Amino acid sequence: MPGYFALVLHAHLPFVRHPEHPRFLEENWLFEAITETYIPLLQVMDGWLRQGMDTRLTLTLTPPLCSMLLDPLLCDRYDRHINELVDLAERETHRTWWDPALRPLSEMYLRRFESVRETWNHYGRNLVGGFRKFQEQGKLEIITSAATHALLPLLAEHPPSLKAQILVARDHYRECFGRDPRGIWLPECAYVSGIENVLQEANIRWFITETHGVLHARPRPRYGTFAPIFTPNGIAAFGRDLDSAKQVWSRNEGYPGDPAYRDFYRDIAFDLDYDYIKPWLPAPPQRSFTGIKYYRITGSDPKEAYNRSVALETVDRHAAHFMTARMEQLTAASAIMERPPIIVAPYDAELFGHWWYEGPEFLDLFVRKTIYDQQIYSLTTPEEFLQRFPTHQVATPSPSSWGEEGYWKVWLNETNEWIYPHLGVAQERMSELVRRHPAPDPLTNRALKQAGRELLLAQSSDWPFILRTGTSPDYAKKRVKEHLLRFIALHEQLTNTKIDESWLFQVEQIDNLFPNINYRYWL
Amino acid sequence: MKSEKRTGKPKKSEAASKPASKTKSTAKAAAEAAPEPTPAEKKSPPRSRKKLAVPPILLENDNPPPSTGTGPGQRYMLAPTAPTHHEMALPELPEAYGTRRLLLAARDPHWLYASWDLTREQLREYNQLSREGHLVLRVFLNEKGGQPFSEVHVHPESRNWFLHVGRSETRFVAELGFYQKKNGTWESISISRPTLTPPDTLSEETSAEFATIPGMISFQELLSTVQGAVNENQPLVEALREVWSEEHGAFPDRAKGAGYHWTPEQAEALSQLISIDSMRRVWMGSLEITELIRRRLSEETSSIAAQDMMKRAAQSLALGGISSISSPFGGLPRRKSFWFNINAELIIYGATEPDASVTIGGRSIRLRPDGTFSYRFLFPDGDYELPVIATSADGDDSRAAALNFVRVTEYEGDVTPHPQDQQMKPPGPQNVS
Repeated sequence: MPGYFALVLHAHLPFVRHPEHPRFLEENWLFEAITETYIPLLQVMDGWLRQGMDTRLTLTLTPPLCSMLLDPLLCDRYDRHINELVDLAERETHRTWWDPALRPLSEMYLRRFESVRETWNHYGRNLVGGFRKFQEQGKLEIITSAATHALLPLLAEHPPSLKAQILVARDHYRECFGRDPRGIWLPECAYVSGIENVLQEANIRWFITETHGVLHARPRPRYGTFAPIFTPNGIAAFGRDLDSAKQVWSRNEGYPGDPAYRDFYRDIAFDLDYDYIKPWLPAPPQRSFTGIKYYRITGSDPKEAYNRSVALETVDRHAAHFMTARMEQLTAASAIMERPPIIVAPYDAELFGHWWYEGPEFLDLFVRKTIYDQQIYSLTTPEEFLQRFPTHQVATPSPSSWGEEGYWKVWLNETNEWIYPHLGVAQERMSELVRRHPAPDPLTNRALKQAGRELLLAQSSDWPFILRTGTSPDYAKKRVKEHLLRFIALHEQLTNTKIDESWLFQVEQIDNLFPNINYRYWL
Repeated sequence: MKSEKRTGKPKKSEAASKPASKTKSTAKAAAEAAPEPTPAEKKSPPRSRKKLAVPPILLENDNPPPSTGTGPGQRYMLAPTAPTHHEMALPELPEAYGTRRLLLAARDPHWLYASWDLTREQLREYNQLSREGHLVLRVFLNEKGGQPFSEVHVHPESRNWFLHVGRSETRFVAELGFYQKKNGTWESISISRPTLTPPDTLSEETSAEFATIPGMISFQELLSTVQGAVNENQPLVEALREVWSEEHGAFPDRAKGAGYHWTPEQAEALSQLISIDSMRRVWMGSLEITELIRRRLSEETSSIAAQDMMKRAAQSLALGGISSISSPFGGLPRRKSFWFNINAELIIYGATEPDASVTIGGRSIRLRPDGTFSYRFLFPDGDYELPVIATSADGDDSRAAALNFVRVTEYEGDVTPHPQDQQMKPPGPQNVS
């Protein structure tokens, strides 16, 4: 076929786990994503596999997300969550019994949640294992990301921090998937020169940049984003295709904003009597989303009830449009280029299902149409493409990110700049601590590991992102402070006082990701 | 054009407030942390110290307020408004550590961020020694020395600054210090590591070198094969190229027939297929990419098409080897005499209620369905005035902004205007529609 298309989904959530509270609002980020994105994606892929379709998909599963998906406490809490959702949906089928518009919807939710619960149990409550199965069958390429999704360009001044973020992630990937990662999702597609040195050390072969990361490379890439480039040390950089990004993402022109689709905001948590809904609120008395939403986007108030069959017709049309647009792009590019062009289209995985309810159906239909209805392009993964075509232009990508304005403004502005001076000092101190303790006793070893974990958690790009967008700023601020304060206390104990073992034990129980962390990467 | 040295306004931040020590009450610590009140603040009535906590449920009517958002969801959104229930009983972070370290980071092609780690005592001490009573941040091009590119007098209590430099692809170094009170000489406190602003345009360099990297051989193995044969710090691709040349003789730079042909016509045709988000994205909340102002690559392609004519070359490539495309008139890379192009554009943009009407210089403009608008103009030397008025749909409310722009360019030496989009016009009400 003349061209290739690589669909890349980036699944990530920050590490949120609060054993010290019986329920915790922000743990719902994980639960909602499991119910609405991760399990529907597994179900869609199961369908492709059952029908013998030769599909290709690339998926980032970031280390914090894998850690949470494998965590027994969070798995127990998800059990509780999905059981409660099924109960709520069942109750809704009774409440809406006499409402002809809402009753089919409450029944739809009940069926949906029951099927999600069934898949959850089918995979033995181990979604990481579920995705691994598809990788082992050659249908899915799972890639890693930085250990805690740090914005790497803002760490680049301290190379050991870059090294720790990437090598800790590599080690964790090995534990989860039994092999080395071949590709990496640079958090927020943020690239700056220097990152590739650590990628080479980790034997990571490719990454993705925002469009201008490749277009503004030096020298100019001849094929634009239709081919990867090799950095001077041999790592491939694939540029994001802007047209396919815009068709999905753009607020005005993008598919998810179609008035036929389900509205995200109009949730029954805000429509129903407080006493009725209270048992299903994650953090009463505050009303927050339950996941049951009966209205479509509509366009203007009053909103109309969601009509599932109209939404499915719309998603079918959008999937066909998306496919046709790719065929046109690749036909045109292959007529000019003397080599097969590739389009790389990365998206946040959570867009499909969680933010855009019909997203999994869109993926399903797009992939089916691609396989059965056209002959212009094949689905591939960046890894497979590189294996097939190992010769590419050499150029140095431009620093860039996929955030607002294309650089680091989202993560470095007046709302969040206060974080970086603290991180700067903590990073230097971490390296000093490792140098100071070349042969630590078991307790010191534990304290050093925990210091590494706290530093990594404080470096997560999610906290400055949330401070900027204002979706949960109190929580983001609290998390940055908490990890920095724990790091400061550990530093104090490892340099001036002595290790408080019982406190250390408590902290180990809370921030328990990366049990085998190698702090020597900070050297 | 006169270089604009706009400085970021420092904001009060967590890091800038004094930490609450364990032995002090929160109120006392907060009082200590607060900077000296300005006269305006002194006049304002005292805030009530205790706020009655009313459970949200008591504030609700029988029918709760409708949800405010609409459309697809957003990352990390748990409710239409941010949750506020988290207890925040954490001690404060130290306000500084006193390392005197100066951090400089390029935030984008035009802005730098600088922060310095000085305790309150250190700041006070330096401010007292300073002629102006505050510190000065100097920014140099490439390396410290000579005349600073920019010099910013920062507020006495500042510990960070966002600095507009407006120079992409440039290396900067910063130095923090002050002019001494006693003799006016410069006293340095700290020098940053260099930072490099990213490029914001396509590369003018269009030569193409290709490499073949066998994916199944690990980097460690590849590096060990070239080890010893080349310099230790040579990038892998170069090292492979050198080893290949040594083993197989001259690199087949001139081989023709089997290589990659690439003509200016191909470059032009491909550029029509790729659009670049060239200027900015406007943050609008629900989805991350919301507006893209596009610029066809061809705008820039045309300016270097002549250059490309010199680059036609064919290349052969053996697996495991590397080829490069060079001028058919000689193997040396392009050398040209020094030159400098510059130009400026002006973008105005904004948003209001989608049903409002907006005029620029009395001319009505068309809003997008979401109420946003934007105009991109040429910006030649001159004075420009663009009064903009937004009026609500019912005509009861209006807002106005008088935008005034001046461009004055002083050229030194042979400087030519950089090519611009032919369709753009200078800023003026007559050029909006």
